[in-house]
Amino acid sequence: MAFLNPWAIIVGILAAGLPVLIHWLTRPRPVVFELSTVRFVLQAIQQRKARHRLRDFLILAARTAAIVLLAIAVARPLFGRKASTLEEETGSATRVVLLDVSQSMAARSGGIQAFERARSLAANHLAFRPDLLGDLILAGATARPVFERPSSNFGALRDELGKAGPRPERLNVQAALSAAVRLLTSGSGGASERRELVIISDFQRRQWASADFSVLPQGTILKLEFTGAAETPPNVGILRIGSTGRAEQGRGFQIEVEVGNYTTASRRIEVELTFGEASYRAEGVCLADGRTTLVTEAVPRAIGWQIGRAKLIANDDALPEDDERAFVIDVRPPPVFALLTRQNANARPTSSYYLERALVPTEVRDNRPSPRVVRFDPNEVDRELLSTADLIVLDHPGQLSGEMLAKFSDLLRRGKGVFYIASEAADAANLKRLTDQAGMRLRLPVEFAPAPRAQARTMQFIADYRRDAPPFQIFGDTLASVLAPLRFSTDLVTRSLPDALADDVRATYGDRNACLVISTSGAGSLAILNADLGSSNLVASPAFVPLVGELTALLLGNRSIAAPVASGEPFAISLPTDAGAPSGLSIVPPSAETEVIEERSGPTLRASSASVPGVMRIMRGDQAVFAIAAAVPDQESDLTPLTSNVLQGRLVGDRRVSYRDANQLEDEEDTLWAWLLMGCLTCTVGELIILRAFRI
Amino acid sequence: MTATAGRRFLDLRALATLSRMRFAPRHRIEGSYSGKHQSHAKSGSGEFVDYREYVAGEDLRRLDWKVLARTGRAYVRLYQEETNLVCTLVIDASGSMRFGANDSRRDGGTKLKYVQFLASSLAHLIGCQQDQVGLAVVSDGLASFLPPGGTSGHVARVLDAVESMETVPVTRLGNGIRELYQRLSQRGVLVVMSDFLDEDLEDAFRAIRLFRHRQFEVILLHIIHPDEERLPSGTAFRFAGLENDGMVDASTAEIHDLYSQQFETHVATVRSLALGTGCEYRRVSTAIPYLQTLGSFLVERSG
Repeated sequence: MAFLNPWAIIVGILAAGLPVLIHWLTRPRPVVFELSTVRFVLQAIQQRKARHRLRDFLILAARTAAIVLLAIAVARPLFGRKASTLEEETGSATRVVLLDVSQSMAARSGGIQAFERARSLAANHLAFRPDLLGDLILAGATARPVFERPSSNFGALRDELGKAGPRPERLNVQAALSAAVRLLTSGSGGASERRELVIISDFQRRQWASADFSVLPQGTILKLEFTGAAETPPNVGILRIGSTGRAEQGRGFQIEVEVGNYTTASRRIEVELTFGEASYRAEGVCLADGRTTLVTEAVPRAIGWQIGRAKLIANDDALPEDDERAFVIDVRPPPVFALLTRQNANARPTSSYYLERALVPTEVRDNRPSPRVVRFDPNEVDRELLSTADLIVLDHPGQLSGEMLAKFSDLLRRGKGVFYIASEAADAANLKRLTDQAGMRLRLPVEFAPAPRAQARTMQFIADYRRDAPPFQIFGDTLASVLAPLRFSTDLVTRSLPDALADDVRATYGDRNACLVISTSGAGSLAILNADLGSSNLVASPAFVPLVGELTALLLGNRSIAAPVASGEPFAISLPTDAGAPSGLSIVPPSAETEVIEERSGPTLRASSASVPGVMRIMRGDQAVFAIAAAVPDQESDLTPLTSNVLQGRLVGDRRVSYRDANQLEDEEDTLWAWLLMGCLTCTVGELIILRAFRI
Repeated sequence: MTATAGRRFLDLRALATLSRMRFAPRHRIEGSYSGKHQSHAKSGSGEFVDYREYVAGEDLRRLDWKVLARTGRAYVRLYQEETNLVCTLVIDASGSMRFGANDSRRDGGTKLKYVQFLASSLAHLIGCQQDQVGLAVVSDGLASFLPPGGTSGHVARVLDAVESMETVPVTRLGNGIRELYQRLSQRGVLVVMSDFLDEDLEDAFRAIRLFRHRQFEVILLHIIHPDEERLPSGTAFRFAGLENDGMVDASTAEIHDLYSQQFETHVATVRSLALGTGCEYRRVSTAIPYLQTLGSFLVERSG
């Protein structure tokens, strides 16, 4: 048995002796009195002693027990384990305290923040000892050691500990362990020096399940201090905000809010979304320990980067910080297509003719070209217009220049979509060179090549397709009947490439050549339709317009709400092509850690550490050219801890590990402390009762 | 009377009120000389009390010839002989008799001082009524002894002895009385003045019982100081014994009642033993002036 406050034993002894001392100092001086009948006095005393022997014994026992119980209560005995302050081992040592400051440490249970429990535990471990060097790592998205090397300045460490608090970040476990390793191995002592790593955390399952302790030096003593609640506190949080469809001015699109319910009961979830001047509400039920996606339709009124907030309504849980999340919506005007083709606009019927109309099927034309489809001759491309177009469509472009292909590769990387209708030998060469240009960013699943002359590739039909993926998804059960009558003609054959993603082949002809390939390169997508529309009956099919519409929607990007960057973590994002040169751009709110730099690939927003949750805007004058939200990663919302058995057994292996649940420690101490005090009080009351009983 | 003048423990003016009173024994006694007290013996002198038939061999001088002449029967005339009182005062001079020296209320009146006044007065009165008075001072034994005597010079010696008494820390009342028994050859009255704070009270009464067997009239005056009856009030006292009893620290509040019980038990024991032995017992409190005590004593005795 150990004591949390062993000094209390000494204080208890002194306290017990104090009444005796006071009694001795203030006791009345006896008056000497000569008496002839001393024998009667003696007999009276003897008689009284005999009568009150039991009473005196009981009172003595009660008083002694009261004092002993009081002293033990103050000393706070720890049965069955050692107190942190008592398990010190002698000899020089280096101790690194790794304190979790991630968002989940702000979770409250019983009105007490997990971090507050962690702070007091850390303070115990950072007590000065002559032969001890120590350091403190505030571990969040990045590991922040207080000193670069372990130091004996425990006062400064405790000061930093006092200033620390939970940060809106996730915990990067490996970064923290790496920092700890660096500190433990930088100690001045030799191999004989004892190394201690104290990890104080709520040990979230999603953070710590993959922790690798093998990086720690041999012989390191691991002390794991669990500061989470005894039972996983209930928490409901917004995990993600996304969208389906392209956000266009005046056109409705769907906003998705994914909510996690980390409680033991189903909950009715209500989310309020505000952006611009409008406010929307999404409702639903989320099952226990599950996730749900709430959807609401919004209609943007203005073009540009819109800032919004989503907030859980009437949600009382352990971690209020994840009940609200900011997001940005890139509201665009109706898309403009750049159609690169060598075909004459007036020639009909041609492949590009049908394609132009399928791209904007609802546009009233009156025999005039649509302003949303800009035809280019590949040899006379306006590069500026090409950059501003939302989607580049290539149909019979002929042989493209290397410069043009490089431009396409760059646009792809920066998020532009490219729809390539390939059917000629030149197209195969273009795709080959584009793939080479993009390098590792573009890994097509197949390689296109001109078909041998002897092999006529007409009347090809779609034999295999992915019905659950765009663009075929919307056809549902009618897909087979829609695709069955379609016949295609092309001069290209395809050959599967190794190490490619086979799922990118969305449709295959009966001769196993690829019909439709959709792949990504950087932030953009590339769709390749291996067919000549002019000699296919697809254009006459009712499936043509919806098929092209689905493809263009996919390539335009149906995510108007971009995924946020993780708060506190470094990031680099290529700015959209219309952001322009870095000069003249400003960041709002200003941040010393964030800058816009010009890279070979174009202007890039780079930060060594993302700001606190919120929205960061890149302004050119008064105009926002880009915006990005920063948010705490959703894994911080799941407060479920990793069990001690897993931590000690599977993760830590055969290392010397001690695991302590501060929660249990407090409970037991508090219980025992209260019981001891109750016993002390009982003894005191019992003494009064005994006195009264014997007086009668 | 010049022999008793100027005595420290004898106030003749105060005793003048008691001069007409006599100290008389309750029973017939055996004296040395003729006196005013009835003797055991019935002889031919003294006061006529009765007739008795003549028994052959009796002295014919006591035969009542006139009755013989009238009735023809021989009767002898009986006369009560009167003798003087032989009284021995036994004073306990143990250490416990010194108790009361600190009593400011009674001008430092110890039990011994009280007894000295009482004994001096009684000796003076006995001497004045032509009786014999002796003195025995006992402590751990018989400290001093003056055999009974009736002369004024003897009374003066008794008074001197009373004045010069000193206490001894040890009490062996039985030893002293037993020695006295061996020294006294004549029956009489034995007046014992003591607090009876003897460790072996039974032994003391065994010695007294010897006197009773010899037909002594024994009067026990149990001297009690009022501060002995109940302990002084206060929180802490260190009680010092007067007879090498050592010291005892006690809070009188805690043992007050028990002490009183103990003391009353002691008094009752002494009284019980005294009465059981055939002695006359009187509880004498020093709170009562000795003249008043003496007066009431003589009133009972004067009959």
